[in-house]
Amino acid sequence: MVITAVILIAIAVFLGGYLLTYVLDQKIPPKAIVFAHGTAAILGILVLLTFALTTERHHKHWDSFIIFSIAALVGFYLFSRDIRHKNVPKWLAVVHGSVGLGGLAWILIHILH
Amino acid sequence: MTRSIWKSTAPKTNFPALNGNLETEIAIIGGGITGITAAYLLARSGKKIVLLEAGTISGGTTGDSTGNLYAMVDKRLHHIQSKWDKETAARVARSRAQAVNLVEELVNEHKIDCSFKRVPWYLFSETDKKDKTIEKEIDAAANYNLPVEELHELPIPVKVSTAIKVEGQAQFNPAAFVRGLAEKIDSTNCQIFENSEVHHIEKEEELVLSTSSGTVTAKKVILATHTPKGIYGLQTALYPYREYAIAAKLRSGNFPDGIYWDTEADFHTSLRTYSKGNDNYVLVLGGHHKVGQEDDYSRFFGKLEQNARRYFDVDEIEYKWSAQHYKPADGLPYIGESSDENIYLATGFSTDGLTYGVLSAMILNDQLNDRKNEWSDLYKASRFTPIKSTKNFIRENLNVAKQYLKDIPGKADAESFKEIAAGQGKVVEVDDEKWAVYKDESGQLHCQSAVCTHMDCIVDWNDAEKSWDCPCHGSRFEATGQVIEGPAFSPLDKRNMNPKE
Repeated sequence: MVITAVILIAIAVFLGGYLLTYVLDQKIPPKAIVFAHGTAAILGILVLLTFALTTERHHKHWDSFIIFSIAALVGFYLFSRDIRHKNVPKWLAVVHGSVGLGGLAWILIHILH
Repeated sequence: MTRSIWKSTAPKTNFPALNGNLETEIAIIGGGITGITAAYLLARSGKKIVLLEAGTISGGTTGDSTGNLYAMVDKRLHHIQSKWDKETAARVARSRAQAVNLVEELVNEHKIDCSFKRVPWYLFSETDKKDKTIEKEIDAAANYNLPVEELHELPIPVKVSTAIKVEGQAQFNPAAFVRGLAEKIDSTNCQIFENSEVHHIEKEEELVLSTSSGTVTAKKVILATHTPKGIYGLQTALYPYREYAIAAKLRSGNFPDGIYWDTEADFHTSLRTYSKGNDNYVLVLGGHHKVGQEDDYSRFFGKLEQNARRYFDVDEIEYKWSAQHYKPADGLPYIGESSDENIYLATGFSTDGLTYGVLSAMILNDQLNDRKNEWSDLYKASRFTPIKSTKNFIRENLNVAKQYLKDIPGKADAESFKEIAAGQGKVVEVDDEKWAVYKDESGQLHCQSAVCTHMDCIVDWNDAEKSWDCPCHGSRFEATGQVIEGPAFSPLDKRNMNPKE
């Protein structure tokens, strides 16, 4: 289950990196990619939550869940601005991406360890 | 180029543009039938009004409508009855009849020259497939004390299986009525400004409406703009559709007055007559589709012409035009205070907007004068009707999601500007961005972002109206990007043509 979550989040991170290039270039990101990014991230977080609630293993990955949830909250804020045709703050988009990428690295380290 | 018979034949108004800063009790945005009737009633009651119209009075959807006024509804009363209940459907019919009566009173009181007349309304089926629909409507209409009669032939040369006739409905020239009424508004209480497009509403303690040449500060605002301007949750319950109309000049033939609705679902044609001097016209309307989701918009005019020539001795098609309507999720319009305090709206009229527009004005007049209105609860804008709305809500919002998903990198109508013919527009991807590019008749290119300024959907070229139409919430823009109608406040973002192409 964790592997599924990691794959989904990795897809979200990859698409997020693509979207970040639009934000940094001050262009309007393509909405199909925005929706795919958001959907992959939400599904990944939900799978991770399901794992945490059902596993009997010692490490339930609550730490990664919290990191991704913070990234998701920032993501919702960014999306709400983008969809209303308002400027998306570049620095916040970078922070959002960094938290997501950091979370992916964090969970990978724990899985591979 | 399209033009409506109403806008072309009604006398023009000549109100100034806003120039400076004003304060008022109530500001009304929109000079169509809703805005002007509301301004008339509120000014008559002593309220201080400023009305701002982006173009000219009745230059929007009112002037592009059918000119029919009736107690029945587009979706049929028996649908309202089955979705809601008998009492609700009866109240809809009664409230709408009252609105038609008000129009008649105003026409008579002010002697407005708008060809108002009482006519019968017919609903017919050409084949026996739709006889059940007619039977249901006969039963429903009889419940609401409407003078109903069953027929098996019509006074027009259309063969029918079954038909229903309801006496006492009405027709007029809507642009002539609205422009005529605008001239009769008490000018000590109401100032009207044309060519004064509101591009922003600042929601502070009071509401500040900004135009390019001035501001209006108001305690309350009425959005008489067909659909509310800006972003509202209510837009998830409003679904934009377009419909087409032609006015065919008749060479010969006697066509009795009436509103004729065909139940055949595929094209949903309606017919009516109109006389201008010695010229007799038959108006043929139909061809519903979602805004911005067709490939060939002009074909609808062809089909209407085909229908007109099938039944009548048509000389020429002198006018053709199209109009937008917003279907509500639960079948009834939304009228009253919005989720924003002190901002009132009237929307979701479907194709029954002339009558609902007048009814909205009556309701808003009572509400803003702190009077009870017997219909205000029925049409309350903030109502929550999940069971009655769910089916339409899910279907239509999935459709909106689908439109967003079409915004894929690398996918566009054309690969280069060279593929765009004169007088045409196409979406082209330039530097990873979608541009809405229009080539005018002289070959000059007009480039703007194809991203709708309301909620970021990609606009679609409408070849019939030469406009960019948003498939999500119905915002429409001129070929050069300026807002025509819909919830968007701002024009499409301009883009400089890249010499690289």
